[in-house]
Amino acid sequence: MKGEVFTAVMIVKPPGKIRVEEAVLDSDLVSTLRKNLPHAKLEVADRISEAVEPDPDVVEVVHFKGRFLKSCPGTRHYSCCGYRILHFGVQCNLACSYCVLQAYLNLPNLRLFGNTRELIAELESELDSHTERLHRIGTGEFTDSLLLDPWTEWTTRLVPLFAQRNNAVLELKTKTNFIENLRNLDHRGHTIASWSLNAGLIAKREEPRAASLDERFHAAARCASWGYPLAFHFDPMIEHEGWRKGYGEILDRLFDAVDPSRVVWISLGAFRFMPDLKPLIRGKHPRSRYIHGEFIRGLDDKMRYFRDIRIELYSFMLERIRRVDPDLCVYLCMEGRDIWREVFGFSPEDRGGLPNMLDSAVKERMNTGNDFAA
Amino acid sequence: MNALFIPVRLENLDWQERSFEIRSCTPDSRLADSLDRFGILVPPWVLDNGAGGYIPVDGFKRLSHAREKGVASVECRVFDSTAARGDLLLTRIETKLFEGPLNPAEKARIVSLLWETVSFEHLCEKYLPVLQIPARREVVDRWLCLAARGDAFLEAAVSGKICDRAALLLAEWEDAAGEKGLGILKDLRCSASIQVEILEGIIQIALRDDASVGDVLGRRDFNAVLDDPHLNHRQKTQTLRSLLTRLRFPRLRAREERFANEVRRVRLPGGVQIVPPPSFEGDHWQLNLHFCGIPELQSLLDETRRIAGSPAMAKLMSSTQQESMDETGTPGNSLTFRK
Ligand code: SF4
Repeated sequence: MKGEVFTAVMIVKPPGKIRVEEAVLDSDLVSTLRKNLPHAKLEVADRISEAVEPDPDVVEVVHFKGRFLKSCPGTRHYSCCGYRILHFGVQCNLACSYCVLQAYLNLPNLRLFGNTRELIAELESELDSHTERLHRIGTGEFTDSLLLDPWTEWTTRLVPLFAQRNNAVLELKTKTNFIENLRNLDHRGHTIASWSLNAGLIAKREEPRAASLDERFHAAARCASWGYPLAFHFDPMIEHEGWRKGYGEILDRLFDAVDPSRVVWISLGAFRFMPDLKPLIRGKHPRSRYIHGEFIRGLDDKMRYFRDIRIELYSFMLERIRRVDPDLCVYLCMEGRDIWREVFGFSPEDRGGLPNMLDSAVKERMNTGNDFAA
Repeated sequence: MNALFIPVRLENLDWQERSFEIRSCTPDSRLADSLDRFGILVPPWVLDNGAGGYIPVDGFKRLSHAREKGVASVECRVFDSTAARGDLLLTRIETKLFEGPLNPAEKARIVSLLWETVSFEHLCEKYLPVLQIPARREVVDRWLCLAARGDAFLEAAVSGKICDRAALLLAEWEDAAGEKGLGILKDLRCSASIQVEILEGIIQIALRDDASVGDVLGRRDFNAVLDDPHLNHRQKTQTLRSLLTRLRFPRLRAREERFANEVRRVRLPGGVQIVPPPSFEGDHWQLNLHFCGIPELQSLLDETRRIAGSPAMAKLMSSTQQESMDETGTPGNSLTFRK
């Protein structure tokens, strides 16, 4: 592989405590956790309150009463990918310095939803009631998709379910290399294994507990060898000294590690954040200087890099990706038409909208969704 | 707590012991006037030290005034030596809190006294709401810094020369930088919001460049503005704000300047104005037309239509003039910090 090799290894301890709400004590999820974490202490409570002290050693299993399927939080100003989020838990202890989950102060611990039967029922009903539509569903919005998978074996339920549906694909987005459970699953190419990537310096400094980039590439190559389609997300892209070299090297290493034709899409998203996150990052990660970059208030009230900086970041990446695979679907996460036009020369609306562009990528690269009735 | 109202000889007061003092840092002339005319109307509080002496608790100014006037003894409320100092302090603070609005010096002192006496939770629950201070650790830390800072800071805040927020920000700076920052704000005599904007700008630049605020204050361009004999305080404030914005947002500033140049080059007719979106974010631009009567409107529209179709207009709206980065991606025109 080209480029500098960072040797940081992933530091994730198995949870030492399972705190369970009475209502989900008999759930499959709790049984699986107890089987895989035989030494973990079990605590049962009527209800697990929200504002508790953070405990990095605990995984909470609660009875979730809301909707499990959510829409990607797009806004009218910035083009949204039309993703649905399968909400199976909250929080993550990979502790990336820029993580928005730090702001969820009332939910400081890893939390899973134990009423998985209801979750599966809601998911199946959604997929069955709209068979004419291609469903792109992901799980990595409020937590990392695979962080707890070694102990929950959650993918062993989800991946086969999606394998049965010709109108749906699942994307598992992670910064871990916890892929063992995916190895022998009958996925039929309906599950995309995807990784968030960053420039080497940023990954090393700001994602200290995630898998190293080498580990992520290695995991991606293994998933590809098991037939899984792949995706990559350069999000959040962070402007830093030598960013071109940093991001360029990661792209080189990525395409050394995996065959570009196995990649369904690559997304790009420059760092953006709600203003409230800044003091948290300043307090918890005082060495993270990127937060003092040239951010302006965006139309959605989030702080974003001044547009010319975003355009430079994206244009650079696009040009480098196009050199390797001109047909690979590259998209911008939460960006406006004007930015699209300056980077790509067209806006998603010119191509039927971003969801349509991503559906086409699924059809072309995964051969899925071409014939819903099949 | 037992207390008696009895005359106390001032020579028996321990004048060095000031742990109960909550200074207001305000001029004493009105109080002195009143004391001269009416004497001491409200007895000061003192604590019997158990060794024949007394510790002042409340009424430092009244007692000092009496001493200066050669008074031998003053009737005081005397707490006996068994009184717990912590309880007495809280009682003193309690009365102070309900006396009326407190100034920043008094608030800072009260926070620091309470910090030594009660738990953080108790402080947040009971006292901070009355003091109108947000119950957050970093905010309390700032008030503690301010309390620990010299009188110059407290007096500047109390007299309104600098606002509370500016005083709190400055109090966290290293000694020399804090003094310099205070001096700058006093010289500029700008509004509270501009004071905070200037200080925040300096802090942000220092954090971004991994430098100290002292380093930013020591910049040559920064001092050139402050030392310019041809600028009055208003002009200095404006020039300093522009400089800080340019340092903080170099590419946005460069784009604004380029836009202004392009607008000049396009030669818009008088009465026509093009307004980009705030920070150039999004694609909602505005065209403002000012006209008197239909013929003028028609002529402006014709001229504007011609300009709208010109390459100059496209250039005006485009962001592509991106020589701002060097090959490695190091922001070229973001000012790398030079000491
Ligand atoms: S991996 Fe994602 S969810 Fe986890 S800490 Fe990092 S940014 Fe947050």
